[in-house]
Amino acid sequence: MSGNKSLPNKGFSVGQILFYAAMTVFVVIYNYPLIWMLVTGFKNSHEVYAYPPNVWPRNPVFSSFVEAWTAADWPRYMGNTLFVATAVPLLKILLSAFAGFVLTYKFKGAKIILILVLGTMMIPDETTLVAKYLLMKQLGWVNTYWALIVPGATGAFSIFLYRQFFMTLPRDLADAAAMDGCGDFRYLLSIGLPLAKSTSLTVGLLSFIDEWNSTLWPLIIINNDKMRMVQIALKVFSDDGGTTWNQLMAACCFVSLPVIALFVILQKQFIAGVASTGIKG
Amino acid sequence: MRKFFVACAFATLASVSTLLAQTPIKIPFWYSVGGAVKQTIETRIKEYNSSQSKYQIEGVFAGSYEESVQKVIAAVVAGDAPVLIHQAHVYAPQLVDAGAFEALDAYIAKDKTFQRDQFIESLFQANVYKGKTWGIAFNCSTPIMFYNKDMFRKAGLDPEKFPDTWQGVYEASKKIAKLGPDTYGLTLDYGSGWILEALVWQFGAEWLAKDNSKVLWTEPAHIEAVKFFKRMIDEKVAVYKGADAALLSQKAAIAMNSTVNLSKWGKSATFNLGTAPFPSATKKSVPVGGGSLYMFKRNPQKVKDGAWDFIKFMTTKENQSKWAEATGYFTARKDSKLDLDKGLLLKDKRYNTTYLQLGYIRPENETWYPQFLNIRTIYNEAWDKIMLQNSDVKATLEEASAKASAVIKENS
Amino acid sequence: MSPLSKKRLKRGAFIGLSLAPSLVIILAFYYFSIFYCFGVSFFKWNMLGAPKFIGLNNYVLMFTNPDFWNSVKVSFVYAFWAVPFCIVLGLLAGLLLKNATFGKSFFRVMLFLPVVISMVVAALIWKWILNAQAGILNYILISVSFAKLGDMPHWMRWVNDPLGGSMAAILFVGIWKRVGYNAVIFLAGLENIPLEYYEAATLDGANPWQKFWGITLPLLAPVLFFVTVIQIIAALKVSISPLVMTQGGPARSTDVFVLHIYKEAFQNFRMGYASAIAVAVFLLILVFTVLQFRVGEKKVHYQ
Repeated sequence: MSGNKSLPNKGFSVGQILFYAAMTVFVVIYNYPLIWMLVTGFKNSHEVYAYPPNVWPRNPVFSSFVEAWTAADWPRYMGNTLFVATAVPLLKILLSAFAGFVLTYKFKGAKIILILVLGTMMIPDETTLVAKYLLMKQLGWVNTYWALIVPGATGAFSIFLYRQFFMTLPRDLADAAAMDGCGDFRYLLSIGLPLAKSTSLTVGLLSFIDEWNSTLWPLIIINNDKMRMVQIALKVFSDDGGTTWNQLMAACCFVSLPVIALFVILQKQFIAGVASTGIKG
Repeated sequence: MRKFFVACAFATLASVSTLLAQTPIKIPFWYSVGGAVKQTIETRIKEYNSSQSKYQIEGVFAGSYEESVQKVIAAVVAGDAPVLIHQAHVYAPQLVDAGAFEALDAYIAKDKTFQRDQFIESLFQANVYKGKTWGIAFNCSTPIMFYNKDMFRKAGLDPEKFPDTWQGVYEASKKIAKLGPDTYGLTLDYGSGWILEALVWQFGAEWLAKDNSKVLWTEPAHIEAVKFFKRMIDEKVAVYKGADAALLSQKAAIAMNSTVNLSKWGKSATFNLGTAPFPSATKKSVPVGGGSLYMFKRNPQKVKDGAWDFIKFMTTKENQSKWAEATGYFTARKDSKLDLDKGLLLKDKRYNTTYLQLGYIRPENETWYPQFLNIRTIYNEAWDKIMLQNSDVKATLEEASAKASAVIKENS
Repeated sequence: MSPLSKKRLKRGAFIGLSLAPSLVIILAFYYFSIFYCFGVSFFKWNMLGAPKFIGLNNYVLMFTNPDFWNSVKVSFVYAFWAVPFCIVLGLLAGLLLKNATFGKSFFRVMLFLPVVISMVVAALIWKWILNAQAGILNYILISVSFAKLGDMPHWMRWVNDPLGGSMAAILFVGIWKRVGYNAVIFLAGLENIPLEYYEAATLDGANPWQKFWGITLPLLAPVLFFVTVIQIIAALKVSISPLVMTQGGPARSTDVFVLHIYKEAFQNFRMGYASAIAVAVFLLILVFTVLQFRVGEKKVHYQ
């Protein structure tokens, strides 16, 4: 008997229902710390230390969020971080796309340069922190946007991604463009880059999140309150007398909001980008 | 005609000179208090700037004391240090030794309006080193005892009478610990480490030799002091670290911390929070910490004069009173204290506890040893090992002493 | 000039200009940094004075300093626990995701959420959850009578326990934050395995267990190896969670490499000494990185 069009063609077996139910419970429990962050943010300063702890705030209040917001110059810190977190991806896309594109050509020294670029992936950032700091001091870049933006304005991984992509473009495309008198620069700008939208989005997104979450480098290179970045600013809630957890958790909420929102909206791109790191090897 | 020109020339000259005179001299001032206190400082700065037109203070929040000292050192090296800083007293020695600061004795002597004798002597003396005065005390604080009066009552102790000996605290803690499983009397959280100094001083022991040549952590009295607290922890009547959560969740009844925490903990406590001066074992002694105002040497004299003017402003009777009222730090002046007696201290007696200890305060780094903080880290770690890893008291302190001696040697 | 050489010139200029900014940045902030680091390691410098040349002294100091060896131990202990958990749990999650034909993207997003928040936020949340007196985890553990009341085992002090609790604390955060990331990579690898193999195996009467060991694992091996090496390197570079949760303590029980370098440089102002440690760590991580590249190269030629 052919189909009842209103029903899916396979009903869910009991096993499957249990599986999905278990999976759902599992991912919710897995994200419990994030839920706890939210819950704590809604507690007032009395309730946060209550023992036994309240799983749900008895009197949910916004006051912790307000207190957290007024405890520090968040608009400025968020502005600083937003500026860096958009400047770096934009620059990175620009620089990496050009470098990656050009590295698809065969010219003398291309191999060496490629090795040089890929070789940077062997140098863990964390070990060069002290040297980079001293270098910044020499350059007079301590406490400047230069120090925050320039080192990250290009990256081996991004260059590689673009190179991979541009290598997939058929030669005829380039030849046809050349025939039309289209120079390399114009070709890249009007044909190559638009086609590389997906790569650009991946590079841009991953870079934004990296910069928004960046902590160790800003900690070292910025000690001026005017230039402070959001992650560092979270320290303002702790001192010798302990930590005001309700305010801190509230602050964590609004500090994480941009990246979570961005992720939820552009999840496909994100996941694809991360997955590609595995395939490339 | 000539008269006209002369008049014009005169007028131009006059206006130019008044204009020049009116351009206020900019004085960068880096301070290290955040949160609500930051707003208080900013208000004071605005007040000063609008009260006169000669100088313009530019206040910059430089982060915590640790952050700002790094920044200051970097700036001194780069040659662009500010004019004035507010810095923790413990960090001053390095900068004095590096020749960065301006000695203030000349200014004090010259300026008849600076009421030197109104300052609380011990606080003033804390900034005197090698015979010169390097800073003016600004936001001082001492640690005090905080305790849960409700838990005291439940344990059968008088909530209004906090024990004044450590033995008494031990007995009280035993009673409180009986109130329930996972309940403690005392919490031992040392903050930067200054609480530990207080504890050993109160047992009649010392920490650093007066000539900075060695640490005194293996003296018998010192070992006894540490052993006393280890016993409390081993018997589970005291808990090590996590004081704020333990106190506020009523898992523990007693905490030791800076008086500045009174407003924060007072706000969060869901119980009757009491304060008391530190107890003693053989003698009464507490450290005084906090920040002072220091001036940098490499500046033109008229800039430094402006900095001095601001220092005076911040330490007048009225401003010290306002400051102490707003922040809970204590005032460096005797006459302000009298104001406070009628104001804040009358409203909430707990803010007076820190003043009760004034008779026996000692600066944290009273011998002005530049490597003080390095040594302190070693010492704090030794306590961690003893209390948390059950290491032998004497052996661990000996090991730490050796490490400290190495640091002293490396830097002498 | 002939049109051909004009074209060549134009192309050359284009290549040069396109590469120049990236190369300058790379040479200055990657390669020069590592050489500079190497150079500074031969000096004694506390920022306030001039650098003083002391030859190999920093290295001697380092190798004879128990605190340095403690960092080595702590970092390796961390990696020893973090890597297997991240891999196994990531693989498990990847397998579960693969089998979720319905709502896969929802589950994937939920697993990945901890990855996108910052390490600072994650560490702070866990620090609160693990608070010995008022945190929710201890409350749950005590409620299910995991610990005899009043007789809390030392590790339940979490960040205040140098005998394993603090290490567990930073491991929780590190693993929790990383599993989703690995799961996504594994999922991609799993989805690359042609379904025909499984269908053929089913026809041969293989059970899921056999399918896993016979098909999945071998074909996933390159990805597995790659992720493992990446994971080891990442584990050796851990820094923020101990910085936020324990500052390397108590009693240096979580004083990992990067934190040790940071404290020596920016709290003790021993630039030369910190650089020496950085060089040592760099060489150590280099070993693993080279390994990753070797295998990666092979894989590329494979394909």
